[in-house]
Amino acid sequence: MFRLFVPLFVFCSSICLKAQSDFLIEAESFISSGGWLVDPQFVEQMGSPYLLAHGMGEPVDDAFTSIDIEDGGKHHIWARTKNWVPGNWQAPGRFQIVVNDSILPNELGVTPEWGWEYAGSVKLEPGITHISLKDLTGFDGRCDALYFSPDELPPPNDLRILALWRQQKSREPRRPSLTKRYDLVVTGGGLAGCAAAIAAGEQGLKVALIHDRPLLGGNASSEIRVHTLGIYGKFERILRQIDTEHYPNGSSDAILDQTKRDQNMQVQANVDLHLNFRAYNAVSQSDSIQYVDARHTSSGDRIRFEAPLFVDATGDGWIGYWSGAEFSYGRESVNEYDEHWERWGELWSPEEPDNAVMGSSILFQTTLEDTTVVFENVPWALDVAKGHEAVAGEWYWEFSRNDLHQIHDGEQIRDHMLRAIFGSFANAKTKEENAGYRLQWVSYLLGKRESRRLVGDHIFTFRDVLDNVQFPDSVVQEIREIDVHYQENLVDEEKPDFLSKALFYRTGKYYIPYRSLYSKNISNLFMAGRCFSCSHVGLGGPRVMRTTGQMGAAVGLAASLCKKYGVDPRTIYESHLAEYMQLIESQQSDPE
Amino acid sequence: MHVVYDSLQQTIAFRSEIHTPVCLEGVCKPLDVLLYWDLSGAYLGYTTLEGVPLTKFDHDPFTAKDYLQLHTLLCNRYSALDRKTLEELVTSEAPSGERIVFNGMEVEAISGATVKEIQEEVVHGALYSCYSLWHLVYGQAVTSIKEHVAKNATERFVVQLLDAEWSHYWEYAVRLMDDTLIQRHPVRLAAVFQKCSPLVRKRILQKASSDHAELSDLERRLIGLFEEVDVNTRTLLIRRAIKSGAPGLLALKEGMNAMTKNQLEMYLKAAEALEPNSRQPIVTHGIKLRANSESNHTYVLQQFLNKYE
Ligand SMILES: Cc1cc2nc3c(=O)[nH]c(=O)nc-3n(C[C@H](O)[C@H](O)[C@H](O)COP(=O)(O)OP(=O)(O)OC[C@H]3O[C@@H](n4cnc5c(N)ncnc54)[C@H](O)[C@@H]3O)c2cc1C
Repeated sequence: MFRLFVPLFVFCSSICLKAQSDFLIEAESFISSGGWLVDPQFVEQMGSPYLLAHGMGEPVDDAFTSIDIEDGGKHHIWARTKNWVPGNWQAPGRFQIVVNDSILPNELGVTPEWGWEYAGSVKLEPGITHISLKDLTGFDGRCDALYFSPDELPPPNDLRILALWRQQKSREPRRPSLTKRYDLVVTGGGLAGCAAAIAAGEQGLKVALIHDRPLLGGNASSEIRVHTLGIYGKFERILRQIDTEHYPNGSSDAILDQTKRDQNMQVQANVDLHLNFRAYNAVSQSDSIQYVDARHTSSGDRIRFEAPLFVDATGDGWIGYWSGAEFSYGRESVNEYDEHWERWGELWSPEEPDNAVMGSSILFQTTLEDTTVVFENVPWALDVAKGHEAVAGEWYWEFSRNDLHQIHDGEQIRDHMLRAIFGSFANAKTKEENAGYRLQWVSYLLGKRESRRLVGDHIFTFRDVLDNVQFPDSVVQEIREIDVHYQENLVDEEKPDFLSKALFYRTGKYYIPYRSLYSKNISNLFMAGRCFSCSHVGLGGPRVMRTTGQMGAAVGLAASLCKKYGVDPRTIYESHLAEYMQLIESQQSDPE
Repeated sequence: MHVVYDSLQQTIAFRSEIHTPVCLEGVCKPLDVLLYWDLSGAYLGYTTLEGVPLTKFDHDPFTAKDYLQLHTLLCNRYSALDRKTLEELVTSEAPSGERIVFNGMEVEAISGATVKEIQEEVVHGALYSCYSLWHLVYGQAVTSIKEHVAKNATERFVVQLLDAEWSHYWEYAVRLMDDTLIQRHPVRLAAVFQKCSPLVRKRILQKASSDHAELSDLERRLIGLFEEVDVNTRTLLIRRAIKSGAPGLLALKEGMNAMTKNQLEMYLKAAEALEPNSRQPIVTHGIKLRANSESNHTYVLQQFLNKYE
């Protein structure tokens, strides 16, 4: 990655055609991002965190950086960006580059798909050069990196080649230069990850919590704003430190709970928080994870985390995926685990397996003001919003479609939801009675419900609920309905494709066994949260965040016994179950 | 259970004459009605027997409103009465306002948990009759009808269902059709495919699709409706077309401009995997002709052409 104020000398390599003083600046590493936001959600798909001008229609303040140039001369400048809504309208997310005081001529963000767009050329003088990104629209322009070169050749677009090229430009060694060792490495700081870190830390384990956001809580954070549902099970004391009140989803009340959560996490003596670090690899040998590598989402600094035990609490099962853990995605056939509910048939569980899953959401909040608030026309959003009008959203603003994957197509899904929101709001604003509404907050982070589910020794299903199975290793309990969502347009194709409905199956208490919380084939991997071992319908009830928090706490405690006996997670079930269950029982009281 | 025929001797409904006692605290009252179901086993309606009106437990006759309310209850497959036993519904602990008095004796009281939902649904003072009838409508009778139909469904009968105007009949018909029968009615099924819901379309496609490379007449017709169906069905059609290789991709060429980005990518990836000779007509007659259209995703086609030309 580019280091600010440090001159770059580019070495010749197979990709570098001429030894010239060209340089690459990662946008997320700018000295100040101004009003732009760092978006690390889609690194695996497009290659890097990027800056996003998410101004809800108001151009955001410039992002700014400076660089000390060794060799002056004419430079061509490219930005890696994309037109996020290609079509017969002006691209919505346009911006320009300003170098010192001159604005480069080309507006950027105008070509479909991530790639290098030519901004123009400037004559650089040796010494400090100021560079800024000028947002022109406030509608989600995006910039991944800038490339300055005396040469006229743009950088490569192919993702794989680009990754190598980047590595060379930034002279990044193959492995992170810093390695840290812990008893337990937890990746993903949602409720599940936070609870796992607290529980293990309280038992004396040295824990690293790697989380790719500045704020903890995942979907419950003030950046996404979903309130926590479910019961506390045996872990009330732990979960009360990180959960939320029951405010409407999307409400700014989430900020109060954020403060509580962050404070409670910061005082955990044995937990090292690595905020803004996104894990990008997990390597296993003989079915045992050796380390997880993570990169800072702005500076690009990397750390290798080594430990005997790992928790995947990423929601998307990334650690399992990278390390070769068995996982599932999509809906099983209704017969696979006998999960039928005659009333809803195919909508509940399909006759043949398919790749449909519950969708992802973007929550938003509006305010009503006394004066008229203008909202621009958004012709590029109307393909999605069509005639729908809305001045408020909720959980059912959700998007899933059978040609989309909730992880691989995450950016497309997020952008579709942004168009749904902006378009529906613009439609509503054409009505006199909505003149005072302002879009006060629209998340840019996808709230996900379902993606990869890692496979454990037990796969928790709707059958376990129906049969009221009480396992010897029931470590999580819940009474919440099993609810499974479907897109409204599956029943009535005239309905907007971004709205869902929930099917609620009311039930008594049900239990999740410990065996659903560690990987079947990766011997030192726990999972907690919505990537735990379950079927599609099985996820319906326990995906809510107090329940996922219970899972986290349960694996945190299991990890402490793994350390005590020097064994892997499965052996706790096989040989130390009584002690483990007793440890869980004792959680209601203060560990002091 | 009796079959009801129309003047052409086609089965149009099922009927059952109910004579059942409704007993409470040793006091029994007969309940006599005729119940009707449609060909799929869905409740259609009820009539009373001549001269035998329905009465409540205290012998008050049903009012016109009560008759209507009973019908509304019976129409509700997902009533709160479902999955409940009478014992669960009735409790002596309910507040007195929710009790029913008969001969000076409190006889019915709806239990607390479901009281509101059920009170709104059932005819006041006739919980037992309502409960019995609802469970008769959705009980064994439905299974018997389905079994009878499955055993006796002739081709003519299935065609009758497909030609009907009710979407649940279409789905039912498709369920009754085996792989051979379904291929014998391409025109009818294509007509249904055009107007039915995405869920029924999925069912038709599942039934109609084989793993053969060759597309059947029915499959061709369904693919031909690509632009007229919903986006999720389109994905399923593309998947089927891809399995058949070049002929399937050619059959879909008209639909290219209606595809989402991911659908186009699926399509083009399949085209890419073909032998150059098979790919050529798709490029010439499909991709090239559409690469400059107004669609939002033509850039995907242009990228493909740049790669191949
Ligand atoms: C709109 C909506 C409404 C919902 N309603 C409710 C509700 O009312 N109540 C309720 O309790 N639940 C609700 N849910 C469900 C619940 O929020 C999810 O199931 C939640 O994901 C479960 O928590 P988790 O800890 O498993 O995952 P998450 O909350 O998703 O946390 C995982 C975290 O890991 C981080 N991460 C991912 N990959 C990496 C990586 N490689 N490196 C570092 N960090 C990483 C992510 O940024 C994320 O913050 C709702 C969900 C949505 C989307």
